[in-house]
Amino acid sequence: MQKVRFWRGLTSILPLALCVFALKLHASTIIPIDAPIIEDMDKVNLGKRLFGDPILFNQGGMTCLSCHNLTPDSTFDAVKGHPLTIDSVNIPTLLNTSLNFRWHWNGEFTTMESQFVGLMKKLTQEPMSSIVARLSEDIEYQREFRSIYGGITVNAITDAIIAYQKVLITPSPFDAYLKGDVNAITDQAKIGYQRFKDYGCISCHQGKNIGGNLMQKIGLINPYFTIDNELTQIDYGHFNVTGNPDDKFVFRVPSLRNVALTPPYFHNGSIERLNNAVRAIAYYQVGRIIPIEDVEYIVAFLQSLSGELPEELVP
Amino acid sequence: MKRLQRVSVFISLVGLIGVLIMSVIPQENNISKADVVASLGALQFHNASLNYEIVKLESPQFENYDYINQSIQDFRSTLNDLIALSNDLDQDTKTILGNLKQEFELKADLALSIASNTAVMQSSVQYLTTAISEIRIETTLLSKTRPESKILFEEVAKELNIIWIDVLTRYIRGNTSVGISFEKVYCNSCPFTLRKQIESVVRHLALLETRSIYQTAIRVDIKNVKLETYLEKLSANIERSLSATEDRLLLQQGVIISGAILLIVGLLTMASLVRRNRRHYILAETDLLTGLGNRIRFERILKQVKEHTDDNLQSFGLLFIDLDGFKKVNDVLGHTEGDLVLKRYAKILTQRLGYSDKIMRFGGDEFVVIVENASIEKLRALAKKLNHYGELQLKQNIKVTLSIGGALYPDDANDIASLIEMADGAMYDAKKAGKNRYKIYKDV
Repeated sequence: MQKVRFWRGLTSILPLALCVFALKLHASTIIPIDAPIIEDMDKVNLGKRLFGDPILFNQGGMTCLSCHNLTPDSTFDAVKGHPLTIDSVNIPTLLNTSLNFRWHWNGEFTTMESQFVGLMKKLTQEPMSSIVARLSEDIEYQREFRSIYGGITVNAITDAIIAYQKVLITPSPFDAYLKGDVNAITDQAKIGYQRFKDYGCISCHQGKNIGGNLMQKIGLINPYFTIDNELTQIDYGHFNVTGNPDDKFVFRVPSLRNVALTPPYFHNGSIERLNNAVRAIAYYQVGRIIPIEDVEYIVAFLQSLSGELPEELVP
Repeated sequence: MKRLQRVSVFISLVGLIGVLIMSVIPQENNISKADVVASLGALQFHNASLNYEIVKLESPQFENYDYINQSIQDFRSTLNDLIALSNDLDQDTKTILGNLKQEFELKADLALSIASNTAVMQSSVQYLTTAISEIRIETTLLSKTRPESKILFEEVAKELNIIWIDVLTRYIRGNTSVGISFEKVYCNSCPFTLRKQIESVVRHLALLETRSIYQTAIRVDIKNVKLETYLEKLSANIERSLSATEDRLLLQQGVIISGAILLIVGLLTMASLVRRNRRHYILAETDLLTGLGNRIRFERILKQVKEHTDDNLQSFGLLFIDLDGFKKVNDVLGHTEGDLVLKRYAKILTQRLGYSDKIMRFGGDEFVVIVENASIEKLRALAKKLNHYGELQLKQNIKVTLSIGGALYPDDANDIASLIEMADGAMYDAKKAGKNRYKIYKDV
């Protein structure tokens, strides 16, 4: 008789235990990252130099850095499209970009190499060979490329640029928290993380990069594009790449790392302040009107995602 | 003999041609076999892990989608590596690789759609679990403040609950949708916030519904992607082409080695034949009894000497030597003794003149000596010397002496035939004059 009761007790406890187990697993949805191990500092330095050198563009002193601002005084602001670009999207930050799976808001490129080459072609309006030709005139670049790659080629330039981009990784206090340092983030941020999970934000913003690994339609529950927001070409998102009507308004879910430092927000940079962005995205995607105090908590959590770049990597 | 010679030449020619042709054909195929096989294995592995990730998405548990992207990226980069390697593979394999890439991109897109879909559904489930209990609390509170609408609120909450459980079970079980009607849950007399909340819930429910239908459709699509078929085809094809390459390489090496062996055998045979020929040639010119040259060599050497003399504007002499009384030796002492006498004379001539290559046995008991760079005086001195040493006293009081006739070229004659005639004539003169003496044509 007692045995039967024991088994009954166990069967009633088992689902509960499974639930607890599931909740434990829940924590692995965001994967903490480490500072990168730099394997080849020469390549990184070369890429860093190329990044800040107008020789790549040869027009009006424009460099990669004129859009992708990485200065350390906490203004990584990704501005709204450079005047020279064709579609003026909100330029994403380069920090942690190598953790993404697709590049550009519309998910146009599936590899970093194709992204670099494609973007350079679009911006310079000339083939990559002319960039090679320009670099070949510079004796110092010639020497550096020869010592690292054996010569200046399109592949070598791409590789150097990507080597630099791959080390732009910023571990944040939240990563330390996930790894077990309970005091790494504030109590508000911890509550914010809980709210972040409760409201379902985490179902898209997950993984190493807290986003950046899915394509999702903007305005899932409440339509984003209404009469107030005039539609432009960039708003069609992935549709511009595939031409498939199902892909209209589909964008890459952006990474939330350093989100507090990278206003404005959304693909068109239409929102300047972070708490507004949180409220808006919760309304459009989840259909919730989040109370102000919860927004504050979530913003505190988002602020704990900001990390700093090592001194030697800052251009 | 000639047949053997031809055969050996033929054999070595065949060998040479074989070696040449096979060396011209590129020997090593540039595919690194290990690389290709490793890439194939990696492709299969990444595909398997992609399949695993896709299956894992079926569980309603919260997950992240890094791994699915990772396997897609890994597969893509491995495939690109393989395509870069495949320049050396055959056309068939290239086509399969192209198809594989196409199918893979399809599968990758579908996998990402599934991931995005799952994320949406999970966020909806997450939302609904909290929102529905919130609505229930709200309706309880409202029915306390507005008892007249209590039944309405309760019904709305109940209906929502039923729909939610319905959707949830179907979502968990595998999405066989029959359509949901939301008419009952719209409550126009409810307060604004509640109405808004219910509206959101209904939207989420509808979204969940459509998304689960969509999810089922994608799962069917993904099962129709023939990535595995192409992978199998590719591995079979690559295996075949690699073994074909190996066979060809082996054949090529075999032909080269056998060609080389044939060449060596042919050359060796040719060398031995040439050596044998040379011996025959020498034998044909040699007088077997005395070991001196015979008449054939005499004619050849005479021609050579004449040409040499003409070129250098010199002169040469010819001494015809005949043995006096040799017939008697043969008759009285026998032919064996006669042969010995001839041998002795050959030896004497060789020793006294100091060279043998220009002394020849002309026939029977006649010897010829070619004296290069000669003059009348030299000829005379030589003939005198030979007469002096050429006296042989044999048994039974038989005595053999030499009669010598000489002629000088080009002083006496301009061509070989008349030179020989003159020397011969001079020799007969010497015989007539009483033997054991010499005559030079000038003196005659």
